Amino acid sequence: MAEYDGIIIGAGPNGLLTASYLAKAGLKILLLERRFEMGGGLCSEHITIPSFIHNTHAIYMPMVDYAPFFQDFKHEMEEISDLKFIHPDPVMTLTLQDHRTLSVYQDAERTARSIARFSEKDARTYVNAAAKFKEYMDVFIAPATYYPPHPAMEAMTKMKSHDVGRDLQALQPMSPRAIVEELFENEHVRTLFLYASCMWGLDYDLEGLGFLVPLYFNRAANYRLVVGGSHHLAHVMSKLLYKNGGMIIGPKPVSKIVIENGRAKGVETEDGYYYEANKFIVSSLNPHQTFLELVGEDHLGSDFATRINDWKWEKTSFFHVHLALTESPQFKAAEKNPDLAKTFIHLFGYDSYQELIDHYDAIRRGELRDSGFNSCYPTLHDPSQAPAGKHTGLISCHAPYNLADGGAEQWYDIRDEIADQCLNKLRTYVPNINEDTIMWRYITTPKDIHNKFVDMREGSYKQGAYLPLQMGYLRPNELCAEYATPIKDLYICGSCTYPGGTILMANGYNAANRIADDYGIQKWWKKPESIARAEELGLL
Amino acid sequence: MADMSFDAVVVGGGHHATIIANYLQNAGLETGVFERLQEVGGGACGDELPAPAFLQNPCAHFTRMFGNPAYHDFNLRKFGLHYVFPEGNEAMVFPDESCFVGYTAFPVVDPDTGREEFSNKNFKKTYDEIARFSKRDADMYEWITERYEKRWRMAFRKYRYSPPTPWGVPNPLEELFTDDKYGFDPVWHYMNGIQVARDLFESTEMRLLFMRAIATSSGSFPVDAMGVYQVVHMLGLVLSMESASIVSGGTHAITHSLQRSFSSMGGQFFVESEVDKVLLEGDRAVGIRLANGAEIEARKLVVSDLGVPQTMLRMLRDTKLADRLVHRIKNIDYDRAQIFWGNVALHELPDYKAKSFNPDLGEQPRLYMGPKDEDYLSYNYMSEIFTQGFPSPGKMFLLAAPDSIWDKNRAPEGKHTILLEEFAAPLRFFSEREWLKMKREIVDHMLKDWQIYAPNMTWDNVIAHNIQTPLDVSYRHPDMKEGGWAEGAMMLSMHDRFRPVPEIANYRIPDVKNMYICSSNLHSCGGIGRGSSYNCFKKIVEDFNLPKIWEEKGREY
Repeated sequence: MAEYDGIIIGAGPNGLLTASYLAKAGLKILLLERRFEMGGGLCSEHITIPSFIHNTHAIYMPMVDYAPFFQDFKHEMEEISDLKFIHPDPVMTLTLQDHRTLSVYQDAERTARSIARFSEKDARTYVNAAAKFKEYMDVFIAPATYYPPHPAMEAMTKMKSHDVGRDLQALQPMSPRAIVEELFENEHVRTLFLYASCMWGLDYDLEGLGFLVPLYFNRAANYRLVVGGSHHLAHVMSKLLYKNGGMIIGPKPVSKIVIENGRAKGVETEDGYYYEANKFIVSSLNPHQTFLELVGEDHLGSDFATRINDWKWEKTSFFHVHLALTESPQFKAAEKNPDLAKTFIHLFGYDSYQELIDHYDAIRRGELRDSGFNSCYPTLHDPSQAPAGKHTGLISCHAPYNLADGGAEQWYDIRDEIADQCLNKLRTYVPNINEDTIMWRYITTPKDIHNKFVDMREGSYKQGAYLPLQMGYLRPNELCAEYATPIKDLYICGSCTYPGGTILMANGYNAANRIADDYGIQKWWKKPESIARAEELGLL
Repeated sequence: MADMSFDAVVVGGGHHATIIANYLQNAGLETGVFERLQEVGGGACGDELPAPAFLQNPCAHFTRMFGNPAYHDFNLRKFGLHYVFPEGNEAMVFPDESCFVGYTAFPVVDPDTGREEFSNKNFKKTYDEIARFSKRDADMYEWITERYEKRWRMAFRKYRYSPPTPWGVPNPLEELFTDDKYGFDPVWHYMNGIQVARDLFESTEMRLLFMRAIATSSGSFPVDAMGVYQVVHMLGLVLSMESASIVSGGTHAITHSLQRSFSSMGGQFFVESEVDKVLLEGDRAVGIRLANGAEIEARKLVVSDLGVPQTMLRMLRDTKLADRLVHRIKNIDYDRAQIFWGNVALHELPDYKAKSFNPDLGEQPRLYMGPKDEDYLSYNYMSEIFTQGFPSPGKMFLLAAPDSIWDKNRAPEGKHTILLEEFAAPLRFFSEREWLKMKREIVDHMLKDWQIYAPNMTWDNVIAHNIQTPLDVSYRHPDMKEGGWAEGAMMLSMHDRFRPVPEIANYRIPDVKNMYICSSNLHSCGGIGRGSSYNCFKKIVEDFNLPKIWEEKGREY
C-alpha cells in the first residue's frame, strides 16, 4: 500500500479545492507543487517593500457568493482561520478625462442613477437587464458552474425546457459587442460594459459564447477582495488539507505520470523521487503538460493526441504594475464624485468606445497601444495590506504575449518603458501617484506570467482560450470533459476543464464530485439547493 | 472562556518558532503558533524578486539547515527540503585580475544525513591557491585545518546547540583555550577582526577575504571584536572547509518543510494573527491575547519567538520589570548587520576577467570582489558607508551569489539571478527619503564596480533589480531594529551568556513562570538553523520533564 490514496499535481486553487473535499472524505491526499509556494494564482507577495502585500495574480474574487466551498467548509473555516472578504461599493468605475464617472454599484438602482447621467434610456435598460441576469445567475449559470457539463446536444435540449435556458440560447450566437450595443446607446456605458464582459479575455467580436456576457455583467457588481490578500484563501485550503492528514510537498516539479497496464499509478519528480497513489492521480495542469509532457503521446490514442495538440492558448494576457505608495491616491474626479475613493476597480484611459475596440484590435496584432487599463488600491479597502498609513496600487492592462516587434522575449527590454507609459496615463487621473510617492514598483509582463506559472503558457491565465470549441463539454475536449480522462485513474481539474479559469472555485469541486462518484466515496457534502432546483427544472 | 486552547502557545511564527513548534508538538504538547505576517518562517522567506519567476531570498540566503538537529529529528527532506552542494565554494576577485578560489575540504557526501568527509584533493587545491599569494598563509591554512578537524568543529556544533554556561564554567569553545595540542589561542578571542586577520595571515589577499567575510557572516566590521564563536565560524567558511550549500527553491523551502512537518504531527499555525500581549495569572503565563481580541489559552507554557524588547516591553507590558533590566533592554546594540541586499535578474552570468588566473572562477556560491586596500577595508570603508551611504566608486566590496547556476527554480530557463550584498549604515543615519533614493541609485553604483571585474555587467544585461536597504528590513520586522538582519549585533559582548543582556540569556523569562523566549536575539545569534530554539527547548525539557530527544538520537548535544 502506498502512503497516499490520491496524488494531485499542482497546488493551485483547483488542486487545493479537490484536495480539500477528498481529504475530508477520508482519503490521504498528496499535492506536489512545482513552485516554491503553494496557492497558484492565489498569491500575495512582498514584492515591492516588505509588509506591502501585493496580490500578484488573482485579486478580484468573482464567485464568493455562489461557490459551494464557502458553505461546505463554513464550520472548519471559522475554526482555523478568519477568512473575510470585502465587497467594495462601487465595484467598478469608468473615469473619463473630463472627470465624469460612471459606476457599477452593488445595487442596480444606484448603478442606474450613475448611468442616467449619461443616458436615461440606458439606465432603465440596465435595471431590467440586471434583474434578468441575476435570475439567469440564480436559476442556471451559478448552479451550472458547479455541475459537470453536458454534451452539447443534451445541454441544448435541457436549456430549451425553461425560459432562462431559452434566453441564454438566444444570446449564445451573439458577440459581446453585439449584446452590449443592442442593450445600450451611450458610448461610455457601452465602454464600461464591454470592458466588464471582456475583462477576462473574451474576444469582443467572438460569436458563440454570448451566454458568458450575463455572467460578467452580473459579476461586475460582485467582485470581492480577500482580507489580508488572496493567498489567505490558499492558506485556508491548505490547512483543511493538513487537518485531514493530507500533505503538500514543494518545490517538486513532476516530470512523469507513470502509466502501468493502462492505469495511472504514480508520478516521478524532476529531482528523482517517485510517489505512488493507491487510487488516482489528478492533474491541475494544462492539457499539453498533463498529456504530452507527463503522460506522453505513446499512451494516448491518436485522436486524443490530435485534440490535445489542437489546444489553443489565449491571445490576451496582462501587463501589471504593482505600486508601494507613501500616501493614499487622490483621484482628481473625486471632487465631483466622492464615491471614487471607495471604488474597487477603476477603469482609466478609455475615453471613447472606439479606444477600447482599438486597444483590443492592437493586441490581436501583437501591438502595444498607449491605451486604457483597470486599476485598484486594495489598502483603501483593507488597510492590513500595507504598513500603517501606506498604500498599495495595481495597474492591470490587457496586453499580448507575442509582440509583433520582437516576440515575447522583447518584454524583457520594454517592461520599464511600458510601465512608465501606464504611470504617465494614471497620473492624469491620480496626480499624486508620482516619483515622490512611489516607494517602489514591480512589473509583471505576459512573459513573466508564462515564466511564473508554467501552466499559463504564453500568458494564458485560464490555461487556454475561451473559444466555442474549447468551452462547455469541449473543454479541454469531449474525451475528458467530465474530469476523467481516457487513462484509467487519471483525472484533470485545472482551468482547462469546464467551466474555465479565474477563481471560480468550481473545476476542483466538480472534479472531486466525479472522483467521489467513481470510487464510491461517501460524500460528506450536500448537493447545493440551487443545483437541485435547476435539476428539477430540467435545466441540469 | 478562551477562544482556543493549546498546551503550548508560540508567540510569533518566525524561523525559530517553526523549529521549536516541531519539538513541542513532537514531545506531546498540543502547540499553536501565532504569526503577524501572512506567512510563517520569519527570515526563512522567499519572494519572486526582482521580477516574476526570479526567486530571491530577501532575508536569509546562506543556510546550512542540514546541520540543525531538526533536519534529522523531523526528516525535513521528506517534507521537501532539498539541498544541493555545489563543487565551488568561496572566492574573492581583485582588480588586478588575480583571485582566490577555495575548494571544499569537508564536502557533504550524503545529502540525506549531511555527512561530510575530508577531501585531500580539495584541501591540496585550496592550499595551492593560497600559496600563490603566500606560502606562509598556505601553511597557516594547513595548521587551522588540522585543528578544525580534530576539535574546533565539534566544539563549535556543541556550543551552538547548547544553552550558555554560567560565568566561570567554560563552554565547549572556551574549553579549546586550554587545549595545548589542538586548541584555539585565547588572544584571538579578544582581538578585533583586523588584528585576527593580521595575526593569522601575511598576504593582503587573505587578510581582505577574512575581513570582508566577517561582515557577511557576523554583520560586524573589522574593527569589532568577534570572539571565538565567530572566528571559528569565519575560518570554516572563508577557507572553504564547510560545503557550500544551496536550498532547492530558496530559503523559504526550509520554512515549508518545518511547517509541513509540524502540521503533519497535528500542530496548528495561524497567520495574520498578531499577538497583542501575554496573559498572566499572578506570576504565571497562561495564554495570549491577539490584536483582534481573541484569547488563546496556554495550558502549560508560552514561548516567545520575538526579540527581547518586544517580548519584555510589549508582550509583558503589565509586568513590573527592574529599572536596570528595562534600561539594558533599551540599550541592546543594533548598529551592525545592516546591508544593501537584493537580486539582479540577468540575461547572462558575469564573465570575470580573472578567469585567466583561475578558470574555475565564477562557479562559487559566494564570490567577493574588492580593491586590494587593507587600510581602506579596515577603517575608511565603514566610515564612508556610515557617512556617505555607500563606498566611493571603485571601493565597493561586493558579494555575488549566483544560485540560479545550481537551482533551476530560481530563474526562468536561460536566465539568471544573482544576489548582491554591500554593507549599509544603521537605519537612523539617513531619512526614509534618502534610503528610497539610495535604493533606486545603488544598482548603478554596484554595476559600475562589478564591471571592473566582469565587464559584461552592464545595464543591457539587467532585466530587473530590487536591492533592499535597512529601510526595507525595518518594514519587514519590528525586531530587526535599525534595519539590521540580526536581532542584535553579533560582536563579542553580545554572545552566549551575555546575549542580548545577561539577565535574559537563558531562554527563561525572569519572574514569569511557564514563559520562555527562543528567538535569535539570544544565543546562538541570528542566522538560519542556529541554536536558540533548540536550546530553549532543552530548558523546557528540563522544566517539564519531557523526553530528551538528543539522548534518543544518540547526539552529543
